[in-house]
Amino acid sequence: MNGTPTLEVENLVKHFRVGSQLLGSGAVVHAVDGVSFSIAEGEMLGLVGESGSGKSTVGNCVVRLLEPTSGTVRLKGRDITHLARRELRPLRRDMHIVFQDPYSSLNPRMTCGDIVGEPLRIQGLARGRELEATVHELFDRVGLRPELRHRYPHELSGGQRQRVGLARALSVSPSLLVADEPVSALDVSVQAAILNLMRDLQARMGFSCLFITHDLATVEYLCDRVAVMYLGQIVELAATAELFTSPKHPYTQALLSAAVVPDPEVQRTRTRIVLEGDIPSPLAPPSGCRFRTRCPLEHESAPRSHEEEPPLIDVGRGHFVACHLVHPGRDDAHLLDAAELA
Amino acid sequence: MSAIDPSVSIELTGRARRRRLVRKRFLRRPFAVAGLVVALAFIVVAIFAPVVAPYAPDASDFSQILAKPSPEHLLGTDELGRDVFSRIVWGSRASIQAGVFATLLAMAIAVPIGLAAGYYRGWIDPVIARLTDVMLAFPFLIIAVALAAILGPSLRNATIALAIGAAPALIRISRGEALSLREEDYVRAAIANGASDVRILRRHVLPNMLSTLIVQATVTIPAAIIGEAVLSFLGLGVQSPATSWGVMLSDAKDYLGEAPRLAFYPGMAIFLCSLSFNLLGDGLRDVLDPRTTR
Amino acid sequence: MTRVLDVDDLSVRFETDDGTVQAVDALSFTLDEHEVLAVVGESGCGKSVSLMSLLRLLPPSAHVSGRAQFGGHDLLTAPASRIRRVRGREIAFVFQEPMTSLNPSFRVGRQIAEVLRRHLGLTRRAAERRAVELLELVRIPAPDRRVNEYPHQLSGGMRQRVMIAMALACDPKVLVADEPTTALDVTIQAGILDLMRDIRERLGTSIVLITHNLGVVADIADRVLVMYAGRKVEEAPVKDLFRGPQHPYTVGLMGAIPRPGGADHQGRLREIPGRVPSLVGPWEACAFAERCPRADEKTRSEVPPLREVERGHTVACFHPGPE
Repeated sequence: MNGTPTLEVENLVKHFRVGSQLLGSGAVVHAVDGVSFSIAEGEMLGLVGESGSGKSTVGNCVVRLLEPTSGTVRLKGRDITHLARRELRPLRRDMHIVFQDPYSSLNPRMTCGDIVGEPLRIQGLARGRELEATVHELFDRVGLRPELRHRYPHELSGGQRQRVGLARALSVSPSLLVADEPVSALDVSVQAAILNLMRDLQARMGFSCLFITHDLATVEYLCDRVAVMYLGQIVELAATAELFTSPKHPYTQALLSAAVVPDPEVQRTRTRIVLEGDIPSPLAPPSGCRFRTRCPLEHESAPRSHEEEPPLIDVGRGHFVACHLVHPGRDDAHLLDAAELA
Repeated sequence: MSAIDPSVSIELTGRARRRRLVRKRFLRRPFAVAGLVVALAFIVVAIFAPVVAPYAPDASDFSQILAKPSPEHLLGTDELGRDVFSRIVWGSRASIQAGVFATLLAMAIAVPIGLAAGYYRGWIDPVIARLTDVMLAFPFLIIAVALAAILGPSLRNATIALAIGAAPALIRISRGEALSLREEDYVRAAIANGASDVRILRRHVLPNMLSTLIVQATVTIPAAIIGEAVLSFLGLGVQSPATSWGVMLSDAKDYLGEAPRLAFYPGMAIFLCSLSFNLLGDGLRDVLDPRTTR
Repeated sequence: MTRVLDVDDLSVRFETDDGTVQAVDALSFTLDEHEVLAVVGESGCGKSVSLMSLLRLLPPSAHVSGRAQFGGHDLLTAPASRIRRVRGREIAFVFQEPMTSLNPSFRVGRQIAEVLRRHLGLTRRAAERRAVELLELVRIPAPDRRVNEYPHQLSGGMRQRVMIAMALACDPKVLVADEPTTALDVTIQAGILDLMRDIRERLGTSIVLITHNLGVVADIADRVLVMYAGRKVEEAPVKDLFRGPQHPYTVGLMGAIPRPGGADHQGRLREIPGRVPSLVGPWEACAFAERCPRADEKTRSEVPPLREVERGHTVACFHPGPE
């Protein structure tokens, strides 16, 4: 696992202009504001956040469905941030995306076999009989009966459609897979099957994966490392086990506390952190530390948190935190004893 | 889920089943079915006019001027002794032609423009959108009349004028569809695959706009039929000796006192023909909407 | 505890293009004062349909049968005027999508006031005052300002609180919350659950919580009812259910969820093979048999009846028991 990381993202910024395009006025949505991380070969990085965190936007920028406003995205060392469409085309073979909604991610007018075979066809990687054989094999690999190739998406269940989406994404054997909330729209029992499938596929095919989700439990199950996002920025980044046993950022702690545990004994006796207020709008993020408007420790971090953005610093063991109250030397933002959160 | 389906029958299942469902739902709507039947009847009559009409449209019999309906002349005769029924049958050709061709031409103009605006956006979109808005500020008939006057009176020019008049609304609709479809995840997936724009438009966007376009077409046809009647009435469309329902109405206006039926029959023809297409269009829209439960 | 709602043998049938769909089959349950009953199941299991059928909120293609005793009347046979009185006043609903449940054209305060004026006959001024009180009850900060805002000015979490306020306006006996937090962020969800617990304590409202999220159930429910393919397959007090689920579907559901802080990284999530069966046609076998590791001849030919395996714990299974 040495050599060039599969994905390197540096200071990624994506702003959207809202309102009149002709006159150039209108507000700016700060969807992503300076995100940096990298994914090594064969690694799965979880990107966690709530609405407005910008996690989906990061995913879209990484696969160049959106063009970043600034910053760099490097796929296997090659800078793809501002590449033109034509140059990007052959590189698209190496990265792919799975979407959240199993109902809108497949063209209702194409058969599932055609859908899965399309990337191969577009990239000119297979044709005719060879293509059919590959599609057949892909269906097998994602656990779908090959006869379903001839069916239309609306005849398949949500879980089956998601498998088709996975088969399509992996058909070209990409080095990087971005999974944008791939199981959120599925029933619980089906989620388990898809999560298991993704684990197996990743172990077998060895691709790197950016797993975007709002569900911490899923991340713990699947990912090697986790990045927590809030309002367009990464507030904490660490190896999974480390994040769950000793979360340092107050937001991470609140998030862990808010995640309901399916065990009444535990759930009802845990200490809870209930955050006040709502998530601010990305149209007008708070100055300085963006979390300060809801942070239970704001009284400690003020007035610095009002003026300065906390930088993402290394607190050891590959654990990064962006909080004024955390720095090497001082151990934890003393919000909660980590043990109480489990 | 049974695991016994042989591959062969599955190939038919998808499309065939959907078509069967659409047909079933359609048949459950008597008005739509009636609309389909009547519209088809008009089209058949128009195509087979020489066979259906007992007389030539300009065959005058001066011994039978303004005759009342009789076994010889089912709907009577007009001021020049011409058989009204035959003229209605022959006149349907102009109306159906104008209706259908104007609509087809309008779609041929509007869909590419709307697609370009909705899919590419950029600078094209605001320009097209504003132009369309300007044109939509004028009633469709006013534009058609103005254009027909400029182009000169003839069925062909009337058809063109109607097509151009109908185009802005269709541009707006195809633009809207393209706009919403390009946000669909499967389009984004195709982009992520590296598909070219042509491929995306051809395989992903257009096929999914089809139902909307079909419905819009069936609803534009009656507007064009009425439009043709208006233009011909005003002398800007079909010219004598050729006949159309609009021309018949125009001729009839001098005889409203003596023989109001001369206006009534072509009027009814226009009404029934456009109503049938409207009902058909309504029914299709209902049936093709995936949210309808019955 | 006083019984508030008693539903017996409730069945709901729909006539569709594909035939008759049996959405709910012979469902019986009760609800007491102060109680939180969670109705759990995945999509298509009939949990929402069953509750909506009680207040005739289903389309005309639905055929409902059975008995539902509430306030001395059978809701399923009561005249329309009675149902209108019950709706929103004695039994109130909160739905999943706060974005679309509120009318975007009217101020929030006015929408709450409308409920009060319609059901309690309050004057406009009194209703508006009460609206502010209700916003305070659901812990919306600065309620006197918020009351004059439009729905689009509020966040998702706030809108859901407004919905809850509207539901509570007439102090209903029962609050039915259909996936109230599914569309909300995790941290916001925590707040709403907190609020619901508070409401139960302070006002004594009984709550029927429809959800597929077992974590939410663990947080707030007293009793749990598990549904599958329109039938009740298990019912138990919450702690008993989580400690010892008896029906293989419940066991499967519990195993399918990754648990934070406890997952064995090597272990796999339990999958339930197959998919939810189509609901067309009456049942002649156990609905879960196709996907059940314990299936045998008996389950494939007979519908298992509900049996009590422990106190207050019933299961519809021929082979109940933990793993």
